[in-house]
Amino acid sequence: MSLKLTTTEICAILKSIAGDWLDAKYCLRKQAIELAAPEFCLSQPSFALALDWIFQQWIMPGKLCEVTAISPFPFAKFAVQILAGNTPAMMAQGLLQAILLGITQYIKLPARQTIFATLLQKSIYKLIPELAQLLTIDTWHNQLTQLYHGIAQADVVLAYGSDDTISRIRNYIPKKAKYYLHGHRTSAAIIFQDACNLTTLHDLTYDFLSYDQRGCLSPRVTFIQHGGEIPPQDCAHLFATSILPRQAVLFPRGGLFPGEAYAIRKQRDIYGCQGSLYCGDDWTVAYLDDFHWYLDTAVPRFMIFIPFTTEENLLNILESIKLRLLTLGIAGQGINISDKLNIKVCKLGKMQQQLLLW
Amino acid sequence: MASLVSRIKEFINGNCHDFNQLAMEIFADQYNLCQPYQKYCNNLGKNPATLSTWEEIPAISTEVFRVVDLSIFPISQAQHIFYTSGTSQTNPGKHYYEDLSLYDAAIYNSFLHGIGLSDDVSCLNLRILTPSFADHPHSSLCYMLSKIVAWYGSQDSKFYYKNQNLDCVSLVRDLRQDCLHNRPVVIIGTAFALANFIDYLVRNDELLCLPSNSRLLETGGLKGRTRDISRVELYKSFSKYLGLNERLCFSEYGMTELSSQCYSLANSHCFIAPPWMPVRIIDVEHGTEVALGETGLVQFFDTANYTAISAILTADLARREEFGFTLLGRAPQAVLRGCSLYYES
Repeated sequence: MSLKLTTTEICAILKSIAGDWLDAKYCLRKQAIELAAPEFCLSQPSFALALDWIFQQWIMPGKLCEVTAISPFPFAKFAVQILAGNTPAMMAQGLLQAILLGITQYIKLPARQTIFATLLQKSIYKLIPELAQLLTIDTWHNQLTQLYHGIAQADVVLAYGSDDTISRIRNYIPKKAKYYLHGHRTSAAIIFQDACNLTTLHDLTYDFLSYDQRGCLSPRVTFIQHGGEIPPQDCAHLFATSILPRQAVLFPRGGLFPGEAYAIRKQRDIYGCQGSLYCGDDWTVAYLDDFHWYLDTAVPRFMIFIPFTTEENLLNILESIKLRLLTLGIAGQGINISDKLNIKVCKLGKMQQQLLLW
Repeated sequence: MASLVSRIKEFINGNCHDFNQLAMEIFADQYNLCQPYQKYCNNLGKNPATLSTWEEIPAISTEVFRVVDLSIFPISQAQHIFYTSGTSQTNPGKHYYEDLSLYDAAIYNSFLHGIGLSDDVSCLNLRILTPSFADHPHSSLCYMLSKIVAWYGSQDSKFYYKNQNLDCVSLVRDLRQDCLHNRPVVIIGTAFALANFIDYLVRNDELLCLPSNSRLLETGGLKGRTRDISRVELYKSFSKYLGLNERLCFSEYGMTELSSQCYSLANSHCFIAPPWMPVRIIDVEHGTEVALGETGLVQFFDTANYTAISAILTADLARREEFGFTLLGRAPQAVLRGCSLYYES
């Protein structure tokens, strides 16, 4: 079944829902902050900020309302979505996609992360019950028969998960279906020598601290060019000891998922034997002279600085990791990486504002 | 350095020394002679001049052995290298030794007590369910068991691995002879190998009743089996299929990154660390020792690890007990989170 909504109607729905969620007194927003923040291991202030970012995007002119005019799935009748749980933005995006699709959907949530999606569905129901009723929201559990059965019937499959999960899901997708599959990727920052300054480091802090660095758009490693106003290692030191402590007050860190404390400790130990470490209570910054020591692991609030000399040097490094990269946040004037390597780029400080829709 | 090694050996052999003093000297040498460790300690703002108790000495995760060479002597002079094992190891860790005298001292002073025997025992009928050290020269477990056979084993003691497989046929044949002649045995193997042997007995409808005073030592490693079996079930099967007294079944806990071992109380997963390798159970998020009865990661200061790094943080979860620790399993692995846009149609 589907709801044939016009672009104008969809934009009106998005604006109305977003307007509610941006209102500090909205009861569902208050419930989400209190009850859903721990599901993402985010602090309540960070979760509240996240809600503001998410729903401001929904109403920003030139963003979503124009995207809705072009649906690549005009004949779809049934969709399956498997949502990521690393940030509330990804979950909200799933429900946004649900509105844009306007068809019957089976939505599978990550394990133990049900509250936010349920509250979002409630807010859709209050506005347009017919649309909310098209959505079956289910939790992730070991019994996957229903999920795979659903995938086999779907016209559209949108899935986020580990590379292993994605491989398994792909086996069930029928030939006729359209699908977007999102495995594990990370993002990086690049600071060219003309931008090695305090302003850039402030921009980096914003992208780093948002969502406790749990998002796929969060930079995990910063490649920083020699020859700038502030040398690379001094940048790392300033970032860790001067800028982060001040900014982190606005973004208090949430909790840690099982295993993360040990993963952080392992990574600190490995980098501590090879480079320089600057550790705060809730974050770690490592400076490595040599890119070959870099390990592609995703622990929260852990930034690695790696210097580079020439643009050719940088391109060689990026070439070796580009299959794992989603987005590059760039500060300063340098080579056109997007053309050279076909990786999405944006301005440093704006990394979290990139939309990941089709 | 030679004098410190002697004093470490004396301490392991039971001669009195001030443990804290010994530990601080070991730390000083490891700090001064192992560059990666020095770098690590400096990053934490710790060095021999600023610390006074062994508990403050920075511990390093076992993971680091996979990435960095940790040794106080040039590794080109290593006479022995032990590699870590494991189902997911693409880069095994390496533990380098110039000589194995401290390692031998640790085994010698813990094995017999560990399986409930006194020091004056000299001739044991050992049935070992691992390859010999000659066949696996980079396995610390195989080395340890080869030494045990050399020191205490009767002429009939044997390793039961042939062409990389457990030789269950020979083992059953020899155990039947042991039963016939009422010769107590000591069976030693990884939990994996022991479980495989029990499976063999079940499949072939075999039941053995080993002579009284026979005992068993299991050396860990249940993961990686195709069939799940709990530790409790495994130990019950030793009693059912081998006729062993459960109170004579023990566990050994060690790893390639260490030179010493812990042994469990009988039929228990509660381990006691030897006096030369004190243990702490650590809350890894806050870096502090947990209270009695609380859970954390196992951390040792192994004096026998003098030529590598003595302060080691393992990946094993345990509950702190009054006299030791109860192993609970591995630290949970953090789940990777992230996403990308990858379009297929």
